[in-house]
Amino acid sequence: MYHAIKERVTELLSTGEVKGFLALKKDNGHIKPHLYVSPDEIDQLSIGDGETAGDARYPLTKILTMLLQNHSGEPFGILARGCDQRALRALAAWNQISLEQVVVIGVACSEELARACNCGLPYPDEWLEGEQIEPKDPRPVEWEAKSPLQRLDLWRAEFEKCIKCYGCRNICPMCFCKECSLESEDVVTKGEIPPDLPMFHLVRALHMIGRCVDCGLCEEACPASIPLRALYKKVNDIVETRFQFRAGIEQTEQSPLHKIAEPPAAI
Amino acid sequence: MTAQRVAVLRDLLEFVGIEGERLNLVWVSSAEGPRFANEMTEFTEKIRSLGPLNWNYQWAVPDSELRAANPSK
Amino acid sequence: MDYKTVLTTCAYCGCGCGLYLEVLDGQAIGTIPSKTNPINEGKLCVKGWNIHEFVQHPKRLTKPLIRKNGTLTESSWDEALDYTASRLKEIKEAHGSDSIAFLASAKVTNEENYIIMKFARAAVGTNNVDHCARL
Repeated sequence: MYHAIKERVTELLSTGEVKGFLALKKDNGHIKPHLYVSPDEIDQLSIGDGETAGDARYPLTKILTMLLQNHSGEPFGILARGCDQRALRALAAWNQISLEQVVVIGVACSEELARACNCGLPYPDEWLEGEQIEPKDPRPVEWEAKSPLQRLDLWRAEFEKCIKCYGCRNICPMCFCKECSLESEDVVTKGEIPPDLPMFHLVRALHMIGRCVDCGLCEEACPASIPLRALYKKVNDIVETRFQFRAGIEQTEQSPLHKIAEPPAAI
Repeated sequence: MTAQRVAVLRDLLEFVGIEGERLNLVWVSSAEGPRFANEMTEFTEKIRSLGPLNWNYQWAVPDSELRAANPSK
Repeated sequence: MDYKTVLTTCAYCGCGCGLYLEVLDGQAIGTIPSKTNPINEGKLCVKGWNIHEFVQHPKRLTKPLIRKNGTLTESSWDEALDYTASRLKEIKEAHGSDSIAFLASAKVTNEENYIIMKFARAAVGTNNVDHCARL
């Protein structure tokens, strides 16, 4: 499987066009992130489909950020889905990485995965495997249908499950801050579970303005199964409605909040 | 920009089910003491009239019953 | 440039969550939960997420310490083992087997925990065995 990708990666590595290619690897029955430095192991390349499509995705773009920051100037390649492509573009807009020396090998997501994610753009700019699946409506419509009181009760029940593992932040490709507000004692009380409701989750949600690329890794990493994706999808929806801005899509500026604009009619 | 950020936060609060009026942003200069006092009094009154947050934790309860329990909503 | 992800098991408690340690140029720099591990399915708790921090921590004990005249002093393994063996014998003779207890650790393997249990029961003769991960 994925012959086109394997051939292209082999070519990139043997010609020395890239120093390493970041993708996933099938290893002893597991799928793990792996930096291919020679074409030898390329047979074990995986795109992250374990038992179901896309159930073994990893934050490759986060690893790439770390690699580029430690070995700047070296050419790397990366396997990218639609969400990874958006993350790369957003990271570049936020000056975390430079895409000049990054070779992106695309893979388009399957219908099954695109539907499960309600992905607004389930394919990268260019791809070697997969088909162009129609984008879905990325808004959290099932939540919008509820009344405010129901939403309050439901979100409280969800937020209350939080065990404050910081997994959502740790796995997020766009969480690159050196200092995190969620570790500031002014915002979050130390040593308490669940964390301050709803501060903890809303602070993170607000910090996703201009950043969240809707990859869904946060929700997959949540041990309490909090529907974080719905929350951040709403942030993206608000930002798109108010500023016609979607992070990682045609993104050149960091955030719509970074420019001086007319304040909204009602403050 | 603060005004935009606050507008986004208000939308987000309403999504989570918290009344947007609970968030207020005004610019008051250090020379405008009486105005500051007025704004604070007005906002305090507003919050008081809204009452405590409806953290009912009755998420299995149908909406109609919640409305009956909180006729102001 | 050498980047590897090493599959391992979280050592903090008895759950056994699977995770990858990110190793860059010989330094453990990060943790990624394993998505394909049936125990944790790509999730970790706050301790697991930070497990890479202790692996090469400078404050980690690498040599045995014996308290001499009130202060902990570094010693050789031979000295430490001889001292422990002789003190355990003395205590057992003076106060009996049940005056000794063993506390095993989650940070060693199952087999090593088996050995400490066997040592407690067979060599010392007590059932006072417990484990820090008995959460």
